[in-house]
Amino acid sequence: MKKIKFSLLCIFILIVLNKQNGYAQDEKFKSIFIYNFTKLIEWPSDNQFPEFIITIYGNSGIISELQSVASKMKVVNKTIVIKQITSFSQLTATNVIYFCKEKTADLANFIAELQRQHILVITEKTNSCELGAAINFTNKSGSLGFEVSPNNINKSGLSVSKQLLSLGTVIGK
Amino acid sequence: MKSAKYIFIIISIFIFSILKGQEAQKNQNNIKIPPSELTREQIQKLTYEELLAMPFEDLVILAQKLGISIDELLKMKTTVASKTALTPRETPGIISIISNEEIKNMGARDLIDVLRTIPGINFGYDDAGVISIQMRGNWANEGKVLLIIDGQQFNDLKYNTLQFGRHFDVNQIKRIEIIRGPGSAIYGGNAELGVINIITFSGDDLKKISVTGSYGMMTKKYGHQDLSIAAGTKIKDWDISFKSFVSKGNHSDQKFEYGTIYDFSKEGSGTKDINLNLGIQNKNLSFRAIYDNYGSNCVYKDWVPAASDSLPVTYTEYYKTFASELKYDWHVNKKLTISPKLNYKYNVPYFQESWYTNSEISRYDGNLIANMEVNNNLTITGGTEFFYDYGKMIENTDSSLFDNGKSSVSYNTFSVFMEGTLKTKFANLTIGGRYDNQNESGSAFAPRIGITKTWDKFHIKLLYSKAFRTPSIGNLVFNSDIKPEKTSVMELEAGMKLNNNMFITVNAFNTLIEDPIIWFDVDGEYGYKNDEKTGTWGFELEYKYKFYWGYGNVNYSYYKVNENTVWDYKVPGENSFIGAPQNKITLNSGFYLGKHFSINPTIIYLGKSYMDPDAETDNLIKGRTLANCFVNVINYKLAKKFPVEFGVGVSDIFNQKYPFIQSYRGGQKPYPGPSREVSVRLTVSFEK
Repeated sequence: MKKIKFSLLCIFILIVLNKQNGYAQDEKFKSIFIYNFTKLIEWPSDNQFPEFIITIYGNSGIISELQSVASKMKVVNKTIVIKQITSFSQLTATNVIYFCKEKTADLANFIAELQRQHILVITEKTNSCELGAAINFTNKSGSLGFEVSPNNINKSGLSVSKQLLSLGTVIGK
Repeated sequence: MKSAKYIFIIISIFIFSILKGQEAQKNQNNIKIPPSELTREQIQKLTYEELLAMPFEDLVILAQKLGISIDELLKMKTTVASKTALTPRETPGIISIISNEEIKNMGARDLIDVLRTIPGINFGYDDAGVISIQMRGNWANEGKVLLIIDGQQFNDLKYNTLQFGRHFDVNQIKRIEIIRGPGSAIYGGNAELGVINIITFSGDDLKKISVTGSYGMMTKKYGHQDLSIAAGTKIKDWDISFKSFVSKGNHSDQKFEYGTIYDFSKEGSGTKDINLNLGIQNKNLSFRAIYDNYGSNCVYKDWVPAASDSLPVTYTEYYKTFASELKYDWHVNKKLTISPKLNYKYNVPYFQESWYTNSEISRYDGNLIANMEVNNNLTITGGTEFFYDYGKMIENTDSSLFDNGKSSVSYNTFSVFMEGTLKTKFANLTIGGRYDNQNESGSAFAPRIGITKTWDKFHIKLLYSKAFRTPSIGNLVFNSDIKPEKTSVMELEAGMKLNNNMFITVNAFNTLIEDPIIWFDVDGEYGYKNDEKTGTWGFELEYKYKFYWGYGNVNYSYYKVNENTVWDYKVPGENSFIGAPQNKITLNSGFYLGKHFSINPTIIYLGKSYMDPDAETDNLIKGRTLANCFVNVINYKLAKKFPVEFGVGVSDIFNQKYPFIQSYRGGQKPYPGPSREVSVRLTVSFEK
């Protein structure tokens, strides 16, 4: 009986220590989706950056996956560069910013500034499009999808193709 | 001469088809599978280059398919119950499919742990340390359930029996497809009541070397010590896999009363197994060779004259098998495939050191199947098979004879079979049949008809099959007049997809076996004979769920004795057979705790059953609940190319020690089962 209690205690500790909740999302597909988003967005012609920059705000396994994509592909004939920031004050020039789930609380504070700088904002938390995100990843029973807000994309001075709108869930008109 | 002619014809077709087929194969190489038809496993293996080259629309489809829903199970194609690949809802059979993930997560120690979670399947005791299978209440040890591993049949060639208990490696199983009903129309004479089709990992599945060690400790003695090494690769068109398995174990650590009381915590219930499995495939040509040598300890009954003080308490019986196959799929055109196949099997069953009745049996088998897709709605498969069995005694003494007084025996069997599957707006219709003719016991014919209909959420199946059990060498040498058993089975299944994550089915069956082949031993006369009839009827309920956080399978099975004249099987005054509980409830579940952990409880309730009343006046065996729990850790990488999996668990948490009951009137008390067993398992892989 003592051994059974000890075993059950070990299992309980395992459950408590394990911080991850739910079935793991496939970060590989998210990174490839992000690349495809950049192909279906019309970027300002006056953008003078020599590279196409994607900034990850927070900690996420998506960083290494995006680096794999960046090593193979280009966007608007520019080399893709992946940057990571852990506080918003570290943000420098970028074309795309990806808010990790734990950083989405900052979105409302900075969305106006990001839209002024023609930055595509991508998130992974429920209702983020209502807070100003252009594209928000969704997960239903492990099935990856995305919401897209054409209004928020327009506010960022960008244009979205009909193809992208047809593949995601449109939020607002 | 006749047999040589048949084998020559099949070899000629084999060589011709290889020569013609290679040219056609060049056009096959560039066929791509549409994204909607890729499986979840295939999607997960796609490289960055492949994904980045795809249109975004296709990527969206693939991403949705990665999601967890019950459709993953319902849309898997299987060929276990028909020659045409069909989904579980469409296939004309009552089937179960169990995946590697479920087998690994439940911490299965052997096939008994896996198959006990399937409706209608349980295990009982034969004799001499042999544990074998019951199917829907019927004792199915001899020639009634067919076990196939990577296309090779593993029923022994003398009595067509199966031996379970610390036998076969479960770690390398990709999936098991089970027909919980007759399969003779496809598989012939050992598939009377069921088929267990085990598929192991190919080279393309593995692409690595993996080493798995597991150890289990019962309350008084170790339960198992296993080592499994698997290596596989796919280089261009070559798919090569090699698996090896070495095991030592014990059926039990409890006491067994067999005349004397034997204490299995000291000795008497040991098992050993060595299994080697080689698979090679190049395009449409495939080769398989499996070697298995399983040993199970037996104890002497104290009145057996041989069991004197000078002899050991136990002896070991071995079951040695070598099975091989060479097969070619000749795609004549887009609609027609012809597959010649050659098999050779060598078997030494019930082998005891220096025992005068040891025998060896070889089977030479040629098979030719043609599959034609007439149009989108009609597929026809037909073929022919011929096999020749030759048995001879191993020891060279005057008393080394088969029971017919001969030192060697031979039989041959010719079969022809055909099946058509027609898809109509109304329903799918499968009609088929198999005709077998053995030179000694005569002929048997197994027709079947299946009507299946699927709607969006519902499906029904109405099935009628005849099946048969061909008398084995062991039966025929006792009685050359023995006839095949003939079975009629009616089954009805209804199923409903409750939502994206849940599915429920219910089925009813009625099985009647005529001329059952039974062993008799009366007043000094013994052997095999045909009795009049036996069988069961009953129903099975199954509820499955699958979410991102876990999965589960809950099922209930019930049987009742049908018409039965076999006195050896029936419990007086009850509607059940000896050794087979009427009621069984199982829960097999898993809960994911993130990327790496899962916790997996399994509960099996076996209702009351009865042992032979001649063995014990109070012959009731009370119902018991076996509760198991296994914690699994997967996909941890020690280094970039060294994934590790680790698991620990407890089987029979409440120490119920459910016994294996002799499933006929053999005069023996139940053979003890294992006590509570704590197991650990570690797998280390080395990827390319």
